[in-house]
Amino acid sequence: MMGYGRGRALRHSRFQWVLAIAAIGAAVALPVVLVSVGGGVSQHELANLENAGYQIVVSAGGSHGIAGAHALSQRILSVASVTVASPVLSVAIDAFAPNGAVSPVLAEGVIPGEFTPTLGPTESGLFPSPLPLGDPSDARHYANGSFDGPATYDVLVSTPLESAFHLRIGQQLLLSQSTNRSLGVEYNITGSFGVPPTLLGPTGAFAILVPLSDLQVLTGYGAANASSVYDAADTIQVAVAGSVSTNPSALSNVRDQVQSLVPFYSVTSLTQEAEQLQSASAVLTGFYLALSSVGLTVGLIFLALVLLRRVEIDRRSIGIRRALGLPAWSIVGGIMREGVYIAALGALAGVLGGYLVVESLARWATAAVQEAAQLAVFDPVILSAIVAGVVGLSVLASSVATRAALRTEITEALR
Amino acid sequence: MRYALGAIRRRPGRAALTALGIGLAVGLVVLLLALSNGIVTSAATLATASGVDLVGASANTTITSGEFPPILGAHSLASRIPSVDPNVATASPWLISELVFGNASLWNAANHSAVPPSWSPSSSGTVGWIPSDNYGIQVPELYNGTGFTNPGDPHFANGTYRGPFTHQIVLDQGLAFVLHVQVGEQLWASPSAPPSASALPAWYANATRFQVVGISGPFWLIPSALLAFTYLSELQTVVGGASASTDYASLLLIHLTDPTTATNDQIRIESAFPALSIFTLSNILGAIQHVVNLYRTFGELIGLIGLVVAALFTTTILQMSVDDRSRELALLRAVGHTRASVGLFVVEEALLLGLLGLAIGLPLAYAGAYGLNQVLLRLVAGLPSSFSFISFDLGVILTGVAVVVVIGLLAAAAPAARAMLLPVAEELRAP
Repeated sequence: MMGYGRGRALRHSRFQWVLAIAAIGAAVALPVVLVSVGGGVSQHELANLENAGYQIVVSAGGSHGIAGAHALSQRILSVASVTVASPVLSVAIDAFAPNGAVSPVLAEGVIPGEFTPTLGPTESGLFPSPLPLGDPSDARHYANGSFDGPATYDVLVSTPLESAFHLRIGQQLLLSQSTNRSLGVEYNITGSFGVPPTLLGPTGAFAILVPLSDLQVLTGYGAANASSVYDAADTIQVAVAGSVSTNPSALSNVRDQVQSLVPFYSVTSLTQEAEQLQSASAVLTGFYLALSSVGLTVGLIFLALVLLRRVEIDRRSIGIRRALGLPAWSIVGGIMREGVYIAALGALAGVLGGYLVVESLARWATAAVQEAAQLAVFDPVILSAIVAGVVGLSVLASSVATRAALRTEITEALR
Repeated sequence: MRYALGAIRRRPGRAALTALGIGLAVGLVVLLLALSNGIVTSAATLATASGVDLVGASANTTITSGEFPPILGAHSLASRIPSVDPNVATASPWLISELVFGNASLWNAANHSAVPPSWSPSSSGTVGWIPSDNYGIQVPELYNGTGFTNPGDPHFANGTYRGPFTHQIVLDQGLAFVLHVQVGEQLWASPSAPPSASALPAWYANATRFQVVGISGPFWLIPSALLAFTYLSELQTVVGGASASTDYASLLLIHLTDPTTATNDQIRIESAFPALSIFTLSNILGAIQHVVNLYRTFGELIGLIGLVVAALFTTTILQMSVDDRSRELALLRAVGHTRASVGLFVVEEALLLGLLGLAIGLPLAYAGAYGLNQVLLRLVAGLPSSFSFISFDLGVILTGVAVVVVIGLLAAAAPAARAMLLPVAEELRAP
């Protein structure tokens, strides 16, 4: 590199370089792994939010705390630019299969015609369209809040439940709010739906979809019994017209109008949720980088010592060069070039190493780790920033060696 | 050892930087170990101290499934389970639900149609239980008030739900603060939220009135910043399920006289009550461990990479040290030191550097762990004062020592081999 004289100790300088590059590479691999996997998981969650077929969510405190869900949905639909208002009630109930199998399932009660447009591109492919759940408006059974209309008792089952219970379309599935089957009601299986993968949490693998009013009556959240929550739902998912959905200020305006209908409820736009997620992701990235900084600090101390050693070995050569009148910047530049070279090679090795570690985790780690690693995103901007940061810090690490080189007494070095 | 010490003294700056490098890596590993150890130990200690030896849920459920339909016949289970299994000291049914609360000030404002814009009801988790059936199970400490004064569950009245409604409720400090209520004051609860101020009078008319009989401390068993507690049948009446055929509960907490036979009791109770799934503490802690494993893998990766960097660093420093003293080491060989003793000098130097690193790393790790613990305790509400996210015990310190020894031995291998294989004559002849 620098063409310094070859001392005896210099025989091992190449070995020391290799070790220094390996150390910096290992130190850089860590943030590459953590930021790529962490960023990938965040991006996945963000994409889920952005790909949802709805833009605003209404929710309320309490247990299935939105009362009068059917009526409220109609009021929300009257807000300009709102195209869909889909109330959803989620309750864990028991399902009794014809073959005698029993399992708790997550039941979602929806208004079929309103639910379908709220599905994102990924989810919509998992559900039959239109949903074979009888009356698409759920108005007949709801019957203006009396719940006296005819119910179709249709149910869609998730494919994992269908497979585990050997269910077929046309069969009956008894649904009960508890393990007491005598409280249950027979439903007709009219179709099935796929389950989108979920990350790092329980999947709704055993799930069913029924008309909202049916689930409300079954679980006591309708008007048919003396439940104190009338016509209950957990959330109302609101979709707006295409032009408004992509315009943040127009979307915010619609959100405000919905909020004015229900000031005590929580009304959030997915843009707000995405912002919260991004800010949480930034905190997580900072935490990862803080943890990684320990390895990087050690790696840079290492680099500083290797360069310092090089200056010690080349003390005489540096003295001769200075005696010959070579400017200080020439000597400093040489040391810094070496530092940058080692750091750059180490950082590139680290990026490659990090990539290989993520690939290994995606193939051979435990299921949850595999799932997270498979979502890793190797963002060239972030990776370049890491490499540039390490190279920049190597200049700082070189400064110890350059200082020592410039303080070398020429007469002593030549003696 | 004197020779190794001399070698370190000769290059104090280099030795200090090496020790700092090792110290940072060891400190990181010890910090991660203390964190992992702390969470597991604290969870196990708390779980044991809770007095809950078994947890019952609706049949066919698993801890990780996330779907728990209600348990039926909760009140009768409290007496039927001990009659089937004499080792059961307590079987306490708990109904956990979310309620919306409004205080008297809001009620007054609503009645006068003058609700300030920032006022609204507050939502909180609520536990319905039979207070006298919680024997042996840890419950939140009562700071103020008398607490529940009636034995049993008066309103249940043998399943008729016609007994006196006590209207007694205990709030944790957080909820009492949010609602601005004190012991003796009234509040109203409902499972649904009013959509707007204009709906408040109707909401209050349908809500159930309670009187605050106690303010409690936080309750770690249900991790929530805001919690309320009331009689089981009264919560059932508020949220639905108050009938002899339903009599809902979410969970059944079981305290055993002899907790060492928990697995046998689990089998016994499950076979006697097919409508229940029973989990032991090991099942629950195992499920927690399963969730933690993802983060553990990345923690191990962070520690491993730190150690690799430290080992490479130390190898290089020792290599430099051997290069610097090659002539001296050759002289030692010439005056009769064996190859093994020369190699041992290098190993000793490596271990000494490692111990210096440990002396730097342990205090750093302790300080870091203490700071992290303070941050995490502030983030997670409701934990008991004894809970710590870190455990800096002897095991963790010994692991730190072992890590240092491993780094030292690995790092010394190549330089020691070089020192042992130095060409003595050539080194002595060199100018």
